[in-house]
Amino acid sequence: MPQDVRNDIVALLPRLFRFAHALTGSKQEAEDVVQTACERALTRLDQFTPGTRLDSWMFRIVRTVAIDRGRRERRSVAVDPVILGEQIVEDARIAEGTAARQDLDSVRRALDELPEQQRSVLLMVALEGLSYQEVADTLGIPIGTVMSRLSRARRKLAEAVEAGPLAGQKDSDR
Amino acid sequence: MTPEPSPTDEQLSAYLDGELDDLEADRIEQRAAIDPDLRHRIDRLAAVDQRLRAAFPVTPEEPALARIAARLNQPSNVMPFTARRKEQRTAAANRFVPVMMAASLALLIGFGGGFLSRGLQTTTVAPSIAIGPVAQDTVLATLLETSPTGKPVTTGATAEANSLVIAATFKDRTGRPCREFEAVRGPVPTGTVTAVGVACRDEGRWVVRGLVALAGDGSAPSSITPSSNETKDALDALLTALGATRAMTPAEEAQTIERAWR
Repeated sequence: MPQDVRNDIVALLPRLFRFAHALTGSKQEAEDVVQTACERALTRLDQFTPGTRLDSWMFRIVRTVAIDRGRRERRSVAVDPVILGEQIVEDARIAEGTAARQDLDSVRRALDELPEQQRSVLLMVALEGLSYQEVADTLGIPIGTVMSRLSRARRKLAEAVEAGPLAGQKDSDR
Repeated sequence: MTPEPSPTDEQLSAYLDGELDDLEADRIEQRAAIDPDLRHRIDRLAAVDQRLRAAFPVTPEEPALARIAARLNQPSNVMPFTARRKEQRTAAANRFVPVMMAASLALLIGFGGGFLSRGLQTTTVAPSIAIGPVAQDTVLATLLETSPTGKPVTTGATAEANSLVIAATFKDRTGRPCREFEAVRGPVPTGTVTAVGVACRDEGRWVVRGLVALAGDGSAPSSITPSSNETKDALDALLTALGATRAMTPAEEAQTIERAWR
């Protein structure tokens, strides 16, 4: 049974990595976060309730690890030119054309500007497809809070994307 | 008659997420049908999710995933992988690269306990090659036990010959002898490499610790086509996980074979 859960966790890696990448804004950081989260999960398998959603449980651990690490080292977003270069190449592959790429850049930057609490809720719902109840249970907050954080996050992202690629940068605080 | 207030952003979000009951959802749809502003607001919020998913796609071929999976099967992670990796990059590790660069592959790596990258459950690659103990008296067992590096064993008629060949011999971090081998469809060196694996000698028998199967051997799920980079990373991770040291020289190898791996 623990071996099954271990295999299930490995099967979740692509989603955990995407979630961590979106949460932290960096692939390098995402790799460390997911690694730590998986190790932590494996030492606490007794705390996982069989029959409940393993992905929700893992997302919570990933988020906790990301927050813990974030407290220690301030978030540094895409400062590494190599990482940035990789990201750009990848974006180019996903969406040909500069406009589309700037669009994705705006989304990433705006996401990064969101308070962590809004970002987590948005990613769990919009990216990972968790229900409001599942997010509420995972984060230990009321459903009403899930709804308001989500709504605020979507509105800010919509505004940022419409404002164009330069929006979301620090100097846009008018 | 006072017009009904337009739905709030929270309600629209919940509508998009399928979190409203049918009655409320119907109300919004009916209103959106006659209210272009409301339609615009809905589209605007829906576009956020679309862009978010485009900005962060699920990427099973992401090299980091193979590295994480490989490290998860390590009982201890005392030393950070990156440090180990630099230290232990070996002749054997480098040998892998040119062989593997050419094709797209399906990944099947396991370390004893059987983690499998991306949850793949298949562990059998070519006939009679699987992760786990190697059955005695098979061609693979004989090859691992007695063949020097580079000397292939070929079975079957010429038209459908299968070959196995040792690519390197090395010791893992506990001093156990390990051998990197290749499965080849056809004769060596003109045939096609169908799988690359690593087996280690443990308590008198050979155990396959990891396998990377090239797509096209019929056993690989065709939906999965990792990039050659991922393959290289996976092999790298495999050798690092084993703690591969430098490859043995032919003389060392010959001596070890003669001593029957003791």
